[in-house]
Amino acid sequence: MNEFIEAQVSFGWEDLRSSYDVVIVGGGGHGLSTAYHLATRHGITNVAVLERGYIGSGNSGRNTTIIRANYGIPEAVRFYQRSVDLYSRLEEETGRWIMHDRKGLLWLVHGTPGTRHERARSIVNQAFGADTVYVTPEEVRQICPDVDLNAGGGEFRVTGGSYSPHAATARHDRVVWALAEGAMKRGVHVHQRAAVTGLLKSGDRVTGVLTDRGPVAAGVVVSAVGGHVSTLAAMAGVRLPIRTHPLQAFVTNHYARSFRPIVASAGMGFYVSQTPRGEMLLGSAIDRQPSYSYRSSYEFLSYCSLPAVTLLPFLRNLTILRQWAGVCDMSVDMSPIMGYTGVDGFLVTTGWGTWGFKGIPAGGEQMAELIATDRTPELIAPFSLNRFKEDRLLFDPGSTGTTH
Amino acid sequence: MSAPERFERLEATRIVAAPGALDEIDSPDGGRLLRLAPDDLLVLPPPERVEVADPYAIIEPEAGFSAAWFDRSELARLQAVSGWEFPVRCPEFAQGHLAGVPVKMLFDEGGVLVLVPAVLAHHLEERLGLGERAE
Amino acid sequence: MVLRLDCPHCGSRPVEEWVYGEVPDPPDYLTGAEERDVDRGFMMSNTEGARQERWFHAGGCRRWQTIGRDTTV
Repeated sequence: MNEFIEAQVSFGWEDLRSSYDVVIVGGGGHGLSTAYHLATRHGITNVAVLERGYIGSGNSGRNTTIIRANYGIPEAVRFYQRSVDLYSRLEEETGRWIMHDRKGLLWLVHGTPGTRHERARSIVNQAFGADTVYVTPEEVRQICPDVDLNAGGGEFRVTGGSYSPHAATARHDRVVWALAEGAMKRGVHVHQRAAVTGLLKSGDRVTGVLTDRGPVAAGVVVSAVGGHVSTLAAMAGVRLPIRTHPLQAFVTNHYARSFRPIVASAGMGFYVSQTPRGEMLLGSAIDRQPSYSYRSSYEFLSYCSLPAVTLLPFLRNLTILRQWAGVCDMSVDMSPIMGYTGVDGFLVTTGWGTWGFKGIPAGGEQMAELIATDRTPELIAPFSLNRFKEDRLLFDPGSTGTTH
Repeated sequence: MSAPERFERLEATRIVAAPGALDEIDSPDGGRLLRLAPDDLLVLPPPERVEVADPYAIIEPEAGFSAAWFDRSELARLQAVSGWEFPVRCPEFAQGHLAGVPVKMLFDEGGVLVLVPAVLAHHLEERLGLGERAE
Repeated sequence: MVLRLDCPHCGSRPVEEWVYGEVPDPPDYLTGAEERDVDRGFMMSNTEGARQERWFHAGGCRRWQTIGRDTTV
């Protein structure tokens, strides 16, 4: 696999230097996007991305690749809409086909409180730049005829929903590699199988990282780690409002007909889309216990499948092909955490929970601006770690698409 | 005829008291003691009177459970819908999920008594397919 | 394979029967009252490895139990 990928990137892999201006820990979407935007927007190329495995081997390679901005609070709608816009231009910008496919997202509700919530969502979305509209059951049927509006006659009858035409999917490893290539072309070093084992400190300041290939000094260390961020932050003396939970997903065999929109129901706790290969891709709630384990369970298949076949009866005829898990850094208010940590020389982009993939372009762009200018851009100022101390939480659990 | 048609409301007495005091209670004639937790005991059927060596003991009629007897021949079918191993010894009491519903089970020579919170009884009946199998 | 937890009263049971209970654990070096409050309210050790946790056995004895678990397994 690596021969194929290395051939795609038209230059060699560099040796690890002993010092960089910026060291980014974690070669997933967010780390590489930060490096990419440092190089392309700010001309900062003395940058290393250190990845313990191979790039995209963590959550960037395990998520369900949904790109959307239909959040419930203004700060999040603006941020994710920026990401939606950047994603739609990423192929043109990088010259790489990321299989970006704008297919629209139906977010279904089952009862009066949900209906009210989706009306509110569409109003907030439109006010802050996302094109979400409220839809009636009849409009749901027109957008996606496969939905059983009666939900098998049970308590989950579809009473409406919201529709976000902007929502899309993209191929996750192509996104990772387009960003890595774009950054490396401009001189950024990406180091695979380079595990960070500790932080170099001078007094309270973080001055670099210890790796299994030796120490590396850095002007600034950015944690773009997914899954093990609490352990890394603890080395810097930073405590995070994060619990790491597994999230499981599975795909079925090929479904011959085209299934256009992404369909989600927060009430029933699942979401589904069709991959470019024609497989149906399903996800559901996070595992309730915090864990760093990648174990998959039969129980997940059963509690995710029941609501899915109830709402989309054709799924009954399909077979589950494979399942997997990723580990998600769930912040306590279900919003990401970006920026300063209170420790000099140590920044984080974390708390990406189950919503990290959609935030890759904007998260990297904004973090790069913060690093280049040493000022927090207005778009991500609300997402600072300080918000917990200042009691300005961005509580938006109803928009994550999973049950918590 | 091996599976019951449905769960019936169960009459019992619930005693919440110091674990030591519960240890000393003797099984009433023909009755059963189900130790739900170290400080929590269910007595079937409700005894006329019961002595508990704990001045703070709470003794109340318990009407929150439904129950049904299953033949031992049904055990394999029940085991198939539980994620834990049934006890081998007999008599033995165990608690856990059955078909995703929390139950309490008394394994006896003659059969298995399954207790289920009364509000969930219809779910368990449906999931075990009780009353449907007119053989 | 589903995760199993050992209940001291009921025995080994699948995680579906349990409810996880977070226990705030501000580290000793946080000495200021406000710092400790913020930490108790929001921050988590999120330990990678073995640790003691509180779990409620909702599907069995309905008691809180302290159970050791390795979060990486």
